Amino acid sequence: MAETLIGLSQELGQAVSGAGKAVLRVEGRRRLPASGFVWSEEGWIITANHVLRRDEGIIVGWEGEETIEAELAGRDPLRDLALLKIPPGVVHEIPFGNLEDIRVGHLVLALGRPGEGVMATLGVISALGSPRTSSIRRASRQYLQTDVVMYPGFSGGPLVSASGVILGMNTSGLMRGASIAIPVGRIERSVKALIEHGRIRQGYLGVSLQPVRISEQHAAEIGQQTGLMVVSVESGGPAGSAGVLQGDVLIKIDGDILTNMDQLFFALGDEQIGQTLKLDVLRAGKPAEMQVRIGERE
Amino acid sequence: MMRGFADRLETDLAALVEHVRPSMVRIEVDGVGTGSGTIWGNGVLVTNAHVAAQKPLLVETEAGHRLPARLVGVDRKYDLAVLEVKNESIDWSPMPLGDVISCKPGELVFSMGHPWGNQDGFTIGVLIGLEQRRLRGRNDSSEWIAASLHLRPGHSGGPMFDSRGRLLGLNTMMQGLDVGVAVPVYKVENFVRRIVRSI
Repeated sequence: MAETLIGLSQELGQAVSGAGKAVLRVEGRRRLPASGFVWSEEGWIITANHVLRRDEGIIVGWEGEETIEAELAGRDPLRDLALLKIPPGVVHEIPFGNLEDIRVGHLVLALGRPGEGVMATLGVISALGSPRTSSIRRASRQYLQTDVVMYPGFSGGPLVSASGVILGMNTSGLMRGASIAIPVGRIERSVKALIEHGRIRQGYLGVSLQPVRISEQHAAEIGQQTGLMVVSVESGGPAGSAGVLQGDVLIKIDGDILTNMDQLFFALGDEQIGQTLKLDVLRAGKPAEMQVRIGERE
Repeated sequence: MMRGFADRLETDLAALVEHVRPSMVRIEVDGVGTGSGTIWGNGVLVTNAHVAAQKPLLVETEAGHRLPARLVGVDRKYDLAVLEVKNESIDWSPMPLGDVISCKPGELVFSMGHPWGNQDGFTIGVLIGLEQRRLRGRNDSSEWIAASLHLRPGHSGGPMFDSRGRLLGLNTMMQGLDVGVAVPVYKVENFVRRIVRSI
């Protein structure tokens, strides 16, 4: 009777109970705990940045009632990642998957442990990368989009393949209404940077900005209603050297529209440092272009 | 090869629906469809308390029999009701009971019912886990099955079951559009034992 269906069900259950050994409860905010998972047996733990509302007194827990206090090793807000450290040898890691084997349509499980037991939801890979229209396109270029239900407290937990290997970290904190996973390869780079420097390098322009409304005439011309007005320019800084002047209104960077500060923040990640990007501005009402070499925020 | 697997999966799913369907009824209160019921034993049905009422009750079986029923017990904590149908000529198909405690999160679960009066309303998902809920204002908690499947009004009182067609719980609530909540079968069992002894 129904051997295929029963077999599928059993395999999914086994994938969860296997990978679930590496899934932890993370208590770093009031009320609802969130999830995290073991990055390595040395005691590195991955969780979501947005579920840690404090820097100290973070508790991780696993099967049963065992808990331990974790130290915050660093945050990567751009990818909504945070790295925690607990003593080595306490928890066990499980294998990571290879993203090259992932196709749209593959079955995936979201695992979480907001309570004592591991919990799971099932879905498929919806897209590799994220839509171009997203304001965080640049930051999310290598993200996985899934249709897994993000049960309350699932953020920070792993996305797991049907065979039980970890593919990434789930978060509902990056894009409203979408389940996004940060792939293990991207996590690895952040973990490396956080262990080495305690922080993630951030791109730098050397300007102070303020969002402003663009006059109706220009708004219709360039297709956006707001831009970022330059309030001050650091002389000799990346923007200053590129010729940006006080009073310019930044409207695009590298072809992506700038209507709020977040968009610029996401456009200036560690990967942009040292790159030369095209900057579109309105100067005295007229469009102008500049090439700016992105610096690094100290 | 892959196609063969998908075919077998579809065949299994269709067979599962056929297997469970005779254990389900549609419930009418005062001539209005209110939800679903699950056949527990000969002439004994379980459903949600919010689906039943002390009013003229009618159950409609899968075979199309429309039978008057009597509400014999209610449990408000778990939103449960037991109905009794006195009819010697009906061949009842009670659902075999499953073991939700040893079910692993991630295993497939299924629900059926009569959403918006439609027949079957088959939906598929996985067990998210068992969930404790504190009862507001009381030093008491309750236990529920959370599943990532799509319950809708009218699924209430219908069965949630595993891939072998064994009853895991009764569909009871929606938690948003994507999470279905059911009363675990062992809670239903305790309740029915208590009531049926006194019928």
